[in-house]
Order: sequence, then structure tokens, then C-alpha cells
Amino acid sequence: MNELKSGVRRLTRVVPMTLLLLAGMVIVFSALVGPAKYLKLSNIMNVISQCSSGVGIVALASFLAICSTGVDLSLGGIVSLAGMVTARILTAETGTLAGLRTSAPGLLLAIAILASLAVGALMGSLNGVILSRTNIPSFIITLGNFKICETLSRVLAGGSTVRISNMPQFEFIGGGSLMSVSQTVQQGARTSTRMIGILPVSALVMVLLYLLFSIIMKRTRFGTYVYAIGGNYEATEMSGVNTTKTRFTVFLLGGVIAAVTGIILTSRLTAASAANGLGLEFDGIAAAVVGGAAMTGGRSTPWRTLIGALIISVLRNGFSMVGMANSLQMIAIGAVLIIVVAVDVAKNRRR
Amino acid sequence: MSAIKKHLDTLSRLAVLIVMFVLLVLVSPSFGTLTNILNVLRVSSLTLIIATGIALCMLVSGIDLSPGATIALTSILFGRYFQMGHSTGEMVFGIAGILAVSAVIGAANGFCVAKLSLPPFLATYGIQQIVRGLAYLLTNGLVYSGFTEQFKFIGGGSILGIHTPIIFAAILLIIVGFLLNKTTLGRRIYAVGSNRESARYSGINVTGTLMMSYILSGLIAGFAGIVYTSRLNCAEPTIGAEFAQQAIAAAAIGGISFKGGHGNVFGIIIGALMLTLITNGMTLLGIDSDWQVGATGVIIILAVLIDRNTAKKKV
Repeated sequence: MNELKSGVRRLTRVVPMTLLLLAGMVIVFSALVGPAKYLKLSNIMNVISQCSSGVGIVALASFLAICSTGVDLSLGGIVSLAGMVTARILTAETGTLAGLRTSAPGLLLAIAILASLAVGALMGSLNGVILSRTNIPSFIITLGNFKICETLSRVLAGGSTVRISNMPQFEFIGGGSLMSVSQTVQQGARTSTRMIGILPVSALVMVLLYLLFSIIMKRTRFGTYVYAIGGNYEATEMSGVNTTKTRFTVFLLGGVIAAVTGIILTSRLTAASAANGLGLEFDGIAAAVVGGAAMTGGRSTPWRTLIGALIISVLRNGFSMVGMANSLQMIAIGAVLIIVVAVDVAKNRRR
Repeated sequence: MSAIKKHLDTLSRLAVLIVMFVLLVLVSPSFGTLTNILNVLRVSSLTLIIATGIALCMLVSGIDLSPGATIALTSILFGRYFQMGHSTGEMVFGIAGILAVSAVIGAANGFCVAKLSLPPFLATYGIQQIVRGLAYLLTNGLVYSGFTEQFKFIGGGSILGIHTPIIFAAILLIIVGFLLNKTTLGRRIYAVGSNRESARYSGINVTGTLMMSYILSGLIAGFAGIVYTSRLNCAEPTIGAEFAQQAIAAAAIGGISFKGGHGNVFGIIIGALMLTLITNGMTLLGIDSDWQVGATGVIIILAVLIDRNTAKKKV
């Protein structure tokens, strides 16, 4: 028995528990849905692109905030606003921007993306300026900022969904793939062949971001400071670390990361609506905590957060595949959020 | 002198409120009529009721994000199960049932915060999701409407020219004011909010106090649900999405500290009225209603920044 226990411990040291949980969930869902339907290539790719255009990248921002003992509830609002800014610039009907659409679409796309990232950085730094200089609880400032972003997005939308058409370069970001395989689909008596992308651009962006932040968190001074603040704020400040600057940067980066999600989501849907992305901030928290972050800060890594994000995506996709009603999905996700954080808190108390 | 100093916070807020009112009357003279003032009070009363519940949680350094969902669920429950009764007795039974359900929701929040030690915003958001999901589940895609005249009177009637929601809000504020100032529970709430550890060491049942705050907030949300359903004369699962944020904004400008332990019922009244006046003023200035929703976000942030009890500069 003891050998088994130490064996399990050795295994979890190499392979995080969460990866086993992810595998377990996939097995359970494929048993419930039927492996042929659930483990189909198109469904697997669907989960991955849902993840990279939703909770996947946002979770990274949630992780950064939580790791430095904060929380960022404005992320969903920033996703919505950044996506809307992108769509508005790409579909501008008057002025130089409209002229660019025909003469230099690449330049227009670059402007749209940069503007969107800038908006994300601006809203993120609004959080950062306040939260790095005062000791106001972060949830309340970011909640207020969420409302501001959502409103700006609604005003920009002008009461309708902004659709983007004839922009293949832009659609490539969220819907494109570097490599595709053709697959024959049997639909009743008809057989048709369709292409399924197996190397989605959005997933590549996600993995690159995680790689980048994994390096930042491990190898740079900023990463060390973030972990230090999460470990012991007072001690970090006493030892001369510029905590104000570090916390500001955390929220600034959070805004930029959320803006990336906004661009990818708008591209994937080829449309921006003010409701896009709202609620992702809580999915992000759930993903980060499932991945091993503690609400008290200082723990987990970007890669573990990515596993958490995949778990949330698999869960949401699985619920739909099982045919669960939307209302039941809301209940289940709410319950998952509470259980996950409760387990984390209980674990910390024992330590 | 010391009495004035003690209430300086509330008095300065009252002064701002009066200045705002005078400005609005100057901009549009019809604003000062009795009918309009009663209308402002009626619009404020729902925010006021919800804010009172949330303020109880804020006083114990918590928050409640679930009232909007509780209002939706209670309205659906009433529409689906309790509106069949047409006698007053059956209506009272229905209302009692609604209040019991909302107390259970509050207890669930309280359990997560007090027993499981979850961060309050996360716990109440999770419960909010579950409750809203239940509301959708129970509607079966229907909208319930056409309630009895007696029930419609609760939120839509008036006594001596005063709208019933105003009267209900006033009664609730008197009860909560009494509870906070004259009972042991009230003193415990302030003690737990000011310093949880020292409250625990001085023998206060912290878990019980937290539970009570959240249960009361749930009950008050259920009560708001009854008033709102009655005034709307229909039950839908989508209602109340903005209520929590509005009420939080009202409590914040009313001087209820997010750090807990500071604030009183007068602050909540002033906060809710200010919020309504701001919205009214924006309408008068011709500002789009889309912007008015976002104003609550700006108000929350500004109110917290100005409030010296919450926004202590870091040393």
C-alpha cells in the first residue's frame, strides 16, 4: 500500500495531477457520448480552438493577477471592447480607414490589431494605476472597470452585431490553420470531403504566449517579483522590490492578453457583439485555480494554468456534447467554480 | 460639536445630494414638482432595497453579487407555482415560500463564505450562476404574467398618493437601521467587519454573524423580487442582470466601505438617491441610456477612491 502511495506521489511529481484529471474527463465524456463521436478529429480541434479563442489565453491573465494576490474581473469586458474596436476599425465606412480596406488591407489589419492591443493596455493600466497605489480590494475596481469596458463596447456596437466580411487575412487569425487534413464525412447516404485544420493559428498564438510567459515567470526579475509578492507582500516590499511597478505591470499585461483574446474571438466569429467574452473572467479564475493557483497568491505556473484552461474547455464542450441544457450547464459551471475554489482553500488551510 | 464630527461623512454626502438636486431643478424646473420627486423616490426604492441587503454583506467586509439572480428565480417561482392562488391567504403563503427560498440562497452564500472561507465575490458569483440557471430551468421558455390585482398592488399600488415600493423601502430601512444600531447582531456585524480576528478573540461568533448577514441579504433580495415582479406584472429569467452592480454603486457612494465596518442606513438612502439623480441628470442632458449603465462602473471606482475608509494610501 505504501509502495503504491509513493508511486502515485512520484508520478504526480512528474505528471501534474491536473493532467490525469484532464485525461479522466476525456475518458468519462467519450464513454458518455460514444468514443466515435466524441474523439472525432473535428470535435478535438473544436475544443482546442474554443479554448484558444476563449478561456485559454484569458486564463494566463487571471493567473498573473491571482499569483500577485489580486484578481481581475475586468478581463471579460476588455475581451468584448478589444474585439469591438478591431471590428469597428476593419469595417469603417468613411475616412482614410475605409480607403485602406481596398488599397492596403494588410496595413488596415495591422492598425486594427495595434489599436485593439492599445485599448487593452489602456484599460489594464487603469486597473493597474489604482490597484498598485492603494490597498483597495482588486475585485471592486476591476468590477467597475468591467462595466466601463462593457458600456464602451455597447456604445461602439451601436445596438447591433458588427459583421466583418471579405477579410480573409483577418479570418485567418481565429479560423485559419497552418496544416489541414481532408476527411470524408458520411452524412446519411451522402459522403462529402472537408478540410479540418490540425494546426490552428489561434492555438499557436496561445502556445507561444504561454511559452513566452513561462520564460518570463522563470527567468526574469519581473517573474520572480510576482511570485515574491504572492508569497509575502510585506517582506517583498521591505526587501526593496518596487511592488507598485510590478503590480501595475501585472494588470497592464492582463489587459493586453485579454485584448489578444478579443481579436481572436472576433476573428473566429467574423463578428463582434458587445456580449462576446463577458463571463470569461470567471472561467479564467476557475482555470487558473484548477491549474493549481492559490487565491492567496504565489503558486502555480503558466503551463499548469494552460492545463486548467483545457480542463474548463473540455468540461464546457463535454456538457454540450452530452446534450445538457444551457440552464443545467450554467448550474454545473457555477458549482464547479465553487467546488474548485473550496478545495483550494481547504488545501491551503491544512498547510 | 462631536455629534457633527461623527456624522461629517453622512452630512457631506447629504450636501452633495442637495446640490445635485438644486442643479437638476435649475436645469429643468419641472424636476422639482412633487410628482417627479415621488417618481424619483419610486425609481430609487428598488435599488435602495437591494443595496440594503448588499450593504449588510459589505459591512462584514464581504459582497453579494447574487441579488439579481435571486430576484429572477423568485419571480419565476412566483409566476410558476404561487400565482395560482387567488385568495389573499394563498398569496401570503406564496410570498412566505418565496422568502424561504431566498433565505436558503442567502444561507448558501453564507455557507460558502463563512464555513468554506471562499472569497465572497467568487462564492456569490458561483451561487448567482446556479440560481440564474435554476431560473432558466424552471421557466420552460415561458413568460409568466397576469397576476391578481392584490399582488399587483404590492409593487404598483399607492397609499395616500405614495407609491407602495417607497413605503416598503422605508419600512425595511427602519428595520435594518434598528437592527444595526440597537441590537447585538448589529454590533457584532460592525465588529466582525472592522476586525475579524479581534472580534473572534472577544468571543463573537464570527461564523454565525457572517451567516446572518448573507441570509438577511438573500431575504431582502427575495423581498425585492416580490416587489419587482409585482410592479413588472410578469416573470422572466433574464431580469435583474444590472441590479447588483447598481446597488453596489449606490452603497459605495453612500459610504459603505468595502473594507467592512463603516457605513450606515442614511448613507445607503443618500447613495441610492444620488444614483437615481445621476441617471436622471444624464437623461436630462440627453445622454444615451447605454452610457448610463456604464456610469455605474465609473461611480463605483470614483466612490471607492474618494472614500477615505477604504482607500488608504499604502505606506
